[in-house]
Amino acid sequence: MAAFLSQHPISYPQGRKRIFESVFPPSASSTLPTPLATPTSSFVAPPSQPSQPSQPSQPSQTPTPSHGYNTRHHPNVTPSPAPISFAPSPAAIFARESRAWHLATTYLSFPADPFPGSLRVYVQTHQDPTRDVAEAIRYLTIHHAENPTPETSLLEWYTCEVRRHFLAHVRPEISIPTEYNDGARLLEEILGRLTTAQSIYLFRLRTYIIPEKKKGRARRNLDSWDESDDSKVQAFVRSLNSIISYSLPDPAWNKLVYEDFLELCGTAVGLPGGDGDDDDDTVLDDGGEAGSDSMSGNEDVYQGVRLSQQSFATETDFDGDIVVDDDGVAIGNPRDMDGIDEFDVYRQRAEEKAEEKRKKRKEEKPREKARKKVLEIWAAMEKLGVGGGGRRGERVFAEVINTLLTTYINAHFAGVWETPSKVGNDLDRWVEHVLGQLVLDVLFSSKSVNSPEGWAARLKKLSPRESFRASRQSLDNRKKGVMEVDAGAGVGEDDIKRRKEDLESWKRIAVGRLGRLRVGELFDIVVEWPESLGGVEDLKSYIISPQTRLHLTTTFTSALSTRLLHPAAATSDILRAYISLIRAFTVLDPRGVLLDRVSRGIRRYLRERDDTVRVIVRGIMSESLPDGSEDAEDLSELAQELGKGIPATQQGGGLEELDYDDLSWAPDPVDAGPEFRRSKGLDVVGSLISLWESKEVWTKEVAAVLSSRLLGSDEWLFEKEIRTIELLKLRFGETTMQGCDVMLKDIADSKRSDAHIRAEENLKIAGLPEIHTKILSRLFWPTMKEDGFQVPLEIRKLQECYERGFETLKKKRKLTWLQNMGTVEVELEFEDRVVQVPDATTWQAAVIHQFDEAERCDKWAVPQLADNLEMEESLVKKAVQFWQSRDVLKEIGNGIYTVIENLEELEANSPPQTSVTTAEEEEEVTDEKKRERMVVEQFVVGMLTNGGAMPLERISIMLGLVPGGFSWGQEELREFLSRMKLEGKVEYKGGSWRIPKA
Amino acid sequence: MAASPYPRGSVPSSPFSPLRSRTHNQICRLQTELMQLMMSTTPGISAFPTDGNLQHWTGTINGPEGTPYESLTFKLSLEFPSNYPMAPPTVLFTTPMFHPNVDMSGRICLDILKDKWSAVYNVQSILLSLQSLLGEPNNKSPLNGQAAELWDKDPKEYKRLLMLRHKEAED
Repeated sequence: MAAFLSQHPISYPQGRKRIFESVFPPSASSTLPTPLATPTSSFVAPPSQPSQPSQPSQPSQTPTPSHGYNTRHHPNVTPSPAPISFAPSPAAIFARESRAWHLATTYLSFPADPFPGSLRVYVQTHQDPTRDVAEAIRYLTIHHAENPTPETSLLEWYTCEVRRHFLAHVRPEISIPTEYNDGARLLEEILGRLTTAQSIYLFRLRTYIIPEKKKGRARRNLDSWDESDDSKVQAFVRSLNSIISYSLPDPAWNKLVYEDFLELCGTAVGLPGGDGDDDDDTVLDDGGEAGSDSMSGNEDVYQGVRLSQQSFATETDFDGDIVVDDDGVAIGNPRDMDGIDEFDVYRQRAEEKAEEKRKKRKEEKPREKARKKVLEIWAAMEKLGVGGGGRRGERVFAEVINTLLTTYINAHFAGVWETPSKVGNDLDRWVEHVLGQLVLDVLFSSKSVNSPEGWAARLKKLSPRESFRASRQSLDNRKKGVMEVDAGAGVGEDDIKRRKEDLESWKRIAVGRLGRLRVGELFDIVVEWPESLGGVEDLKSYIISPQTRLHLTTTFTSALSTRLLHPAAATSDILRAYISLIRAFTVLDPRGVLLDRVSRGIRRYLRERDDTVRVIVRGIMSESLPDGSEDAEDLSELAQELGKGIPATQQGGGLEELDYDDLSWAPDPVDAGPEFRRSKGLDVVGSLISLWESKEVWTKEVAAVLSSRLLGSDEWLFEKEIRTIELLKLRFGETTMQGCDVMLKDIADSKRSDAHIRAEENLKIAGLPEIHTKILSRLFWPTMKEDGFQVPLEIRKLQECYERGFETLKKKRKLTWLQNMGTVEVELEFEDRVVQVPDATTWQAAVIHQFDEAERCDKWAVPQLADNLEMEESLVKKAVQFWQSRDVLKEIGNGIYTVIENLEELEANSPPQTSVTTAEEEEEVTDEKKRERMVVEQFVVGMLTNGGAMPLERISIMLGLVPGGFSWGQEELREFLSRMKLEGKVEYKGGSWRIPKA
Repeated sequence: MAASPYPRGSVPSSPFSPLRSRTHNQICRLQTELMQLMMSTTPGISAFPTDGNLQHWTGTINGPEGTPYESLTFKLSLEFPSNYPMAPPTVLFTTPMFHPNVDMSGRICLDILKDKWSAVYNVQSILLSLQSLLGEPNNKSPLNGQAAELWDKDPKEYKRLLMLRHKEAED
């Protein structure tokens, strides 16, 4: 390419060439300095010459190097047709020029090997220019100071040389491997290399190429080059930085910085993990002893900043030390360049802040270290032009802060639901003092803010939006004419204001994040209720917009359906969750809109569960249930809830809408659904009861529980039950609860009539057991099992007396005995012991009575007993097993049972212990099965009578009409039909079943 | 197995899901009626949903003793309107019938199926009323004039015409 260019040196306009170069970086060969063809010695003499006389003449005259060696760098230079008369001949000038050019470029070009580790090393190893070279450079720069062209050309050449060198030798060193272990070190290495390279480039630029012309203005530290008013330096740095920026591999570099920053900032703001030794960050400073701590903490911050500043300053000191200056043209002043003045400004500022910082939380060592590190890295990135000001670093930093916020909230507040919630305050404080401080420190650390220059510089660093705001503010100030007087103060105020604005928005974001966290946790919060009140309090500040409310309801609803509303969850668990949900959401949103929305799913699901009613009623009436029954404790809170009555506000019905005196009236919330029911109070029982519109569902279950309670004890007073029923009447209305009223009344009446009948009939007969009855109005009580059996004769007699008494008391009414209901107090006397069973059932008593009876026989088999008592065999079995478990009966083989008179006998031959429960279950199955069979039989007959002959499949389908569903398999049904056929109820003909013709 | 106290939970699982337009109450009512009818087993009357459709039932009546209808069996169809039990079901004899209050296509003239309908009636009471109507026709407003005339005048001819018409539906 170079060869091509050199052939057509003039024909290429500079603009085109620049474009060309920007695409194809200049290769090493094309930028090589002039070959050493010209004898260097010849140049030694002239250098002194151009310094004085030719100064005015030279600038206008540009040497026209027509040779290939420097075509690239002087393509725009057209041969000047008018040589100045008193100047040396054009040829001589040209020769000198080219010789100077050659010397300078030879010296200034970088060797092919990579840079040493730091500027210090470089400076030590690098050779000072020989006098010739220094002169040559001076000739090319200062000598032509008035005419920018040659100087520009040397600068331009240098820029290209730097670019070439950077791309060829530095860039390979900063590549990021796809996999690395120690990201932090890698980042540090890369930054180190880049910084070194940059400082070396700058060092050479400043030392040799750009002379310090305006010495009156104090030069700043090298790292303040972007404030330098030397546009050439700025241009160079810009070009260098852009090359650096573009040679950093894009996703990999951002990722590296992101990861490193995330870890460091995480540690710096007190996230656990990372270094992992910082959990104590919630400790707040208090008082004297801690005061000194925080002071030293501030010192640390300040130290950290100083370190980051010094890391460069020390190197620039070197810069200052080795200034090539033989005639007083100082290129750099070490005193000026170490940045002391700026440093002082910072120090001042830091001291101002000390007051505020004293209140800050205690900083611990690892956090401080990480903080320093962040600032260090950031400063380095700033210098390299990959830092803030809308550049890559800032974006990455923003991402880091974003992630940090989330991580911090998740790490510190997840599962922290104490009440009253301090989370909001903690978070605010953290954002303001820790996160905000870090952000400020990082973004504004390298600039002095209070000096007007710094203000201008910072404007440059701001993102467009920010700078727009800032300039608008200053414009406003100018309009007001107030701040003109003291710009510095105005800036300071603006700064505070700006900070406040930023802080506010950060806090808003933080609250949003916290809200999202809480929404995610909401299910657990509800389950943990009421210990989790704090979590709900946090959420209150989140659900202030329709979007967040929608987010809450959708998230929670899906959590509900995946975590709770599935077959594995017990109904009581679901109900408990629902109750907690009602309570939690009433706190969260007193208007009830959210509750209304989230509870729809759970209500729909509860309606589908078969045992919902049973569980709820048992919960409501838990006081009436015998202790120790499994449901009793489950939802006993419902009983208390019921006791609270109906919230007064709800009783008005729809009338409250018309209450014009209600000054606290407000329209329904905007996000209320169309079927939104206004509910002002917390009414758990009401919500549960409204699951079904039909009240009968409830009353049936209530009656069942009530009857078992009323009949299951021999008390006569049921105050709790009366109270419960009265409370339920408030919910369901008088008429619906009439049945229960009658039941309670029956018991009360029974007490009176029992006493009366017993007195009338003289039932207190010595030697016979006492008998008390409860007289039930059959229609109002749940259906009872009527498994009658023969009660012992004495009892039968007593019953007959009782019946007589009743019939005289209540004319035209008859007693039907429910022999299997009721309890008997049994006392059994054995040879060696007495067994007392205070609450045996009647059938258990009847069975054991058989063994006693007249000493006639003390060995019974189950079928015999069943025959004798006219009792169902299964019931007899159960009774026998009961007595077996009490060590009263034992099996002596062949299903024969006898009484254990002596416990020693038991020891002799331990009887097989069959568990009572299995027998009970069997019994229940058969009971239920029997009923089911009867229903199915009726249905089959009805179906076949009306529908005619039907095949088995069709019968099976039609049986789906049986209330409660039909779950038999076809085999079971076929067997059943066959049995019916044997009984002559159906017949089978031509593949179909039908009713036989009479 | 007992009539489930939780109607919503139990119905959808059966293949005979009620039509959506039917109200929950109506389904409940018809189910209860069916259960009652099945469990009471009143002799001589019976009914069952046709094809598992709760809105359409088939009924069976045995002719009451001591009437020309003795030992005959009659089938009926019962259609329940969507506002049942506020409105009476449409009842027709599907077995060919010879009766003063029943026309040739099986339509029945019975006050409780028309203007005297009340929601307290149910399938059982309808079937019982029809059974007794067979023995005690209302000859004052006949649908079948010939039958009304013959009922008192010529029981033999009545029976002959009845038997001519009656052809029990074979299964």
